[in-house]
Amino acid sequence: MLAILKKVSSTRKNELGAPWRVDFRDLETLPDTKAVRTDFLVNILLFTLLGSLLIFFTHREITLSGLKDDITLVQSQIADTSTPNLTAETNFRDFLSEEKKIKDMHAWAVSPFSFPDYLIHLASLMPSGVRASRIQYQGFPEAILVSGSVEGQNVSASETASEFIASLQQDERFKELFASVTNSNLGRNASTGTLSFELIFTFAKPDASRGIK
Amino acid sequence: MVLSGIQEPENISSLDDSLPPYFTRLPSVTMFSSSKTKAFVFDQGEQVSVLVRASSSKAPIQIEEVREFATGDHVALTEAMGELNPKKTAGFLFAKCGVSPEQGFIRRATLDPKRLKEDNYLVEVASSQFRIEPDSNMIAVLNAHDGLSFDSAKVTTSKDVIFFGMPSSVAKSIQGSLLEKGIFPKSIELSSLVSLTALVDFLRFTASTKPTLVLELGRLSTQSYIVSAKGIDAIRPISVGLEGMVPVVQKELGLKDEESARKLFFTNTFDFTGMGAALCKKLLKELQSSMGFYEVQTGQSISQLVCTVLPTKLNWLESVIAAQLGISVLVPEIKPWLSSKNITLSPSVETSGLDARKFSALGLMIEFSAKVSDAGNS
Repeated sequence: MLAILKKVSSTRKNELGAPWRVDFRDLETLPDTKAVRTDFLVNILLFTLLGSLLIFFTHREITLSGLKDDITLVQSQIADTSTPNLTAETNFRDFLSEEKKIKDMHAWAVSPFSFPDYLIHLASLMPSGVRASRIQYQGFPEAILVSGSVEGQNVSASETASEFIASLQQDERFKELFASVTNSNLGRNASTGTLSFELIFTFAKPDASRGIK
Repeated sequence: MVLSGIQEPENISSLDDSLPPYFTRLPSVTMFSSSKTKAFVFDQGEQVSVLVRASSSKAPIQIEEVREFATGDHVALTEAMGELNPKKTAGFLFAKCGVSPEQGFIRRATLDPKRLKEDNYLVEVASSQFRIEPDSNMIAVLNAHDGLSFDSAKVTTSKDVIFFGMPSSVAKSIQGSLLEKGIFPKSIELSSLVSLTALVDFLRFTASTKPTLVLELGRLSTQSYIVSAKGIDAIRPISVGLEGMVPVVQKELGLKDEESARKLFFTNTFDFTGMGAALCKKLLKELQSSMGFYEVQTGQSISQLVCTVLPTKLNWLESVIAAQLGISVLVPEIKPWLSSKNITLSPSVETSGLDARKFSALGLMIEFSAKVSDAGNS
């Protein structure tokens, strides 16, 4: 038997319950007539989820297996072609080396540059008081280094050096041969009482479009 | 308030609360079920049972079919269930049920406000005043005027309450019996209370101010109630039933045995109107006493009578009793009242069949208001 006189919050109860209505059923002994159980639906949902996961992972495994086969095949192809590849690579390196030589040769052959002519022309442009102490030709088409000095250490020596460099830079023949003429080092040499300089004649790039004839 | 034995939540909000509280109506299930589910009501009276099929559980409702048969006639019940509900769900017909067990009880009490806070006060009232043992009975307590669950903590609560219920074993037995018949009870209510509630609602609808004497004439006893638009004003069980009239019939007609008299009396093959006063003598005496007490207490005179439980063949008793008491018989016009509740009748339902005896079946379909002030306005 239930406890007598339960303390029920009737205010709340009355809001929910309809007046004049009291149910005398014994809910515990009523049969369960639910057509579809919640448990059943939950199970269906879980099985569907499980099935989806299984399909997903199986699909992934199959894809992975296929990729592994592909990798093995490709690796075997790589192994098969590695020897010819190495040969081809060596050959290519040799080819590049030979090509460079041929290009240099070609550039020399087609170059309008003549070192003796260069020396004569340089000498003709040198004003009095300017002396070249060393001329280093590094080979066409690298550069030519010219070390020299200007007598005196005063302002006029400096002006002479500047004018000389300017005359070299503006010379039409040198413009055809060299991309630039720059002074890399200008300094006074107290022991000799001169103003030393170092000029770099950078060759203009050979015209590739001309090709090897 | 639940005094004992009734499982919470015991209140039924409306007819559509079709499933027990532990049922979960899943969206997926609802999705596949018909949007227009038929609603059924099964009222198992002492003498007559009624099975009603309605278009819906919530207003607007159309009463589609009404079947009436003798209580205990299983063949008729099975036939009616088959006709009204060919497609059973889970092998059951789901219906709101009203029952009238012999051991059922409805009592009215005016509580002592000073003792309301006492824990065992209601139990004491039930056991000492009404001889109803809470240990073996399912008892509920409602306010007599608004029908809300009684709450002793509420200041405004009326002190007039109704104790009603039935023995726990009877309730279980009834439930088992319904299930055996293939009826799954969505709720089990006491027909008498539903009937009285419907009658109160009807009086409110008709704006009637007349206190009405309601009789449930059973075989062994009679329940007398006095109701008005305000609620249930008085309840009195009288230990005189229809069986008590049989010896009078035997004596008056000079029959040899009581069985012949009983057969004659219940089959209505003889006009008993002339000996009505003699047949109802004991009953009338009790009723006059009750009415006199009520009229003295309230200053209001009872002017009409209605019998909600009475075999069809003994219909004449109603007018005899009314005549003897000097009051009129209430012939309720059910149709306008139902219309006010947004309930209509299908053409196949005969209005003439809807008399006071159907108040309990109809009441199971109606959502009653708690407002006493609704009288005359509904």
